Amino acid sequence: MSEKKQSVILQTSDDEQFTVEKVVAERSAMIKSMMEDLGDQEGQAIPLPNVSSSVLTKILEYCDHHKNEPLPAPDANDADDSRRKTSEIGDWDARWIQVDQEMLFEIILAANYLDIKPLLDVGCKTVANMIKGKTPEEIRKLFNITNDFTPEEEEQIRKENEWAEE
Amino acid sequence: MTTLSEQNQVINFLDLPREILLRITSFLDFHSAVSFSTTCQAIQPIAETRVWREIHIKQNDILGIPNDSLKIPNNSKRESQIQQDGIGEDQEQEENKNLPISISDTQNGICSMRSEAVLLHLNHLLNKKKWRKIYVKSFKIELRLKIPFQLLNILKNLLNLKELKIKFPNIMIDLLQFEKFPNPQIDLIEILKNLSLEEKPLYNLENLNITILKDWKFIIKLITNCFPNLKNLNINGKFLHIRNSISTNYFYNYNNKNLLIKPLINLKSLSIEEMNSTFGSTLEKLINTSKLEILNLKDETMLWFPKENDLFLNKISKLKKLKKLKLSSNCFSNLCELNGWNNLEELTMIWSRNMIHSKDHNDIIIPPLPNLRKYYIEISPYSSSYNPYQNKPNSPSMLSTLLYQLPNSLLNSPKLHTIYCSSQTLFPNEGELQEEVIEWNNDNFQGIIIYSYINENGEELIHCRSKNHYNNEDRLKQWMGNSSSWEEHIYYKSKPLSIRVLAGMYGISGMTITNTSPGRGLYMDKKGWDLLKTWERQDESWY
Repeated sequence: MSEKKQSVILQTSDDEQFTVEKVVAERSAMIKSMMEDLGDQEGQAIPLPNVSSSVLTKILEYCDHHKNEPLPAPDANDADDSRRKTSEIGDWDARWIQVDQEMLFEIILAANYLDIKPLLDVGCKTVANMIKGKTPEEIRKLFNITNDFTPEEEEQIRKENEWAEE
Repeated sequence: MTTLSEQNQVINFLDLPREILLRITSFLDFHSAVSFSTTCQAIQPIAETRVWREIHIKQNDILGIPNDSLKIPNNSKRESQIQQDGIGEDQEQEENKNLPISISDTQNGICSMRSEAVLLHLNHLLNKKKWRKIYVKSFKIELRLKIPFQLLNILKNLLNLKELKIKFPNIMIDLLQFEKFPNPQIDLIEILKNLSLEEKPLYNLENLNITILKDWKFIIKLITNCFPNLKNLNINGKFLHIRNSISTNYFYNYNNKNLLIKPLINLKSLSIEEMNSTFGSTLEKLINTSKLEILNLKDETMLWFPKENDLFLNKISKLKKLKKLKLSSNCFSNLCELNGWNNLEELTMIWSRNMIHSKDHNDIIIPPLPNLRKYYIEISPYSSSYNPYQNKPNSPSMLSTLLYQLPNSLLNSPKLHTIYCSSQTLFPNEGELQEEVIEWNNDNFQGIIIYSYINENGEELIHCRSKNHYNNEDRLKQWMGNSSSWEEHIYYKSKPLSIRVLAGMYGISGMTITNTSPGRGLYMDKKGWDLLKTWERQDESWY
């Protein structure tokens, strides 16, 4: 096995090609299974029609930094969110994800599409941390949400939901 | 295929897929989720997955809530216009009229009335939005004296419930105080009975924590009917074997029948707060599974006397996955004599004080188990305070017995690395100091933790740390904050070794962080072993 074989070509939506180390690309469960399907067809680019080159550049940075970590178990009880409580983010990840909201959402969507669970969590935790401690009005402002409740309705929902406090 | 960014569109927060919004919500704390839920109509059902995930009704909620929060909101007309729901709203209004709000009755009256009102209100809120009932994964409720029947209506609808806890705190006090009140167990039985009649009872429930006071077998039977997929079952409650109550007579017929108990096929962990001789046959049927890993059969009051060929113990000795087990010393001989326990790694043995002190040096107190790694020795707080040294002045201390038996025991339980003897159980509770000090004075044993290290050549170093025996005066000093005193015993290749050598080995191995503070020792790396080898080569006489 030559060293060369350890890389893979990724093609973004804006038709840019990236030659990426295999261990880096394998962070994406989606690319990993695609590579397995394609086998050893050298030089064949893997198309990523849902990811732009700017987002992929950013994501590859993340994948490269984490390439030596063990991959998460496939489908480790993902659906069950009842135990997910901590929203802490690692130092490097937190610095890395200091991007504007637009890019943040792009990263989340791409992480979801590429199936990079830890990255998806970093993104979602970042958004959750933005929401934390804010008033409803502040949250609306943050995400450009239009309030379609009357003040009475809003108050009613708040009352009902606060009752459910653990 | 084009992406959003290519079209130069700004991705809106609300454009994010639902599953991602749900994921974001799952990381929110409760109060942020409440704020989030009131931002707009599209967010509300998403944010409420977090808000309604867990419901915990504490005793204080029932006793301490102000009257006005019990009132069912009356602007429901507007609500139902907006969210085409309004399930059972008329009915609730009806019930609301009958709901006694101002209660100037006795405390027990308040208890039961209020618990009813709280549950009624909860049911109202759950029904207000059709999604809420589906969101609830965990429901915990602490009740006193009476379980409102309303609980059934709530439970019936929580189809995704994973965790349920029904607890009666202070039950003994309550029962003694309010003799005229019926045992809440009757309500519980009625609720479970009705729940089991449902077509699909709570099939998703994995964790159940429940208080059972009597009618044990019957309630277990109902539990297996209602929640067939339980993974963790926790049964609290001290069995009321003495008190003659209504419920025993009331359900006499049920208990007399030969109740068929189906095993809980997914059960991984089972915990009983207080074992009893009558439970064995029921539990034996319950755990017909190869999945059980943790079994906690607490019996501090020593009410379980298994026979020599106890079927239940025989069965659990054969469980393939059983890793953790807690038993009382009444079962000790069974434990030693039964073959099996092949994967048992952690054993907690609750010893009666009498039993441990009547042991001779040669009476085994470390059970020979092939895979045992951790052995926790506890002393039952309920066992008699009989003083063994008065009657048998030469009886050995538990520590010396342990140390005496250790070399042999390590042959029989080759993987055993730690013996924990909680000194906690020997420590008197605050306020009971006077009484206990005398007893303490006669107790040589305070604790032992054993560390064992094996190097690459398979040579073993065993480090026993045992707490010293204090006399009264020393003990006082210790209470005043003097550091506790440890006695160290080191064995290398089964021969005693000087503490100085071990100290050197720990020292050269470096610092470790233990629990809260950094410290030296209890960490052994290659440098430590090298040091030992050097010393060994230089001078054999050092040990």
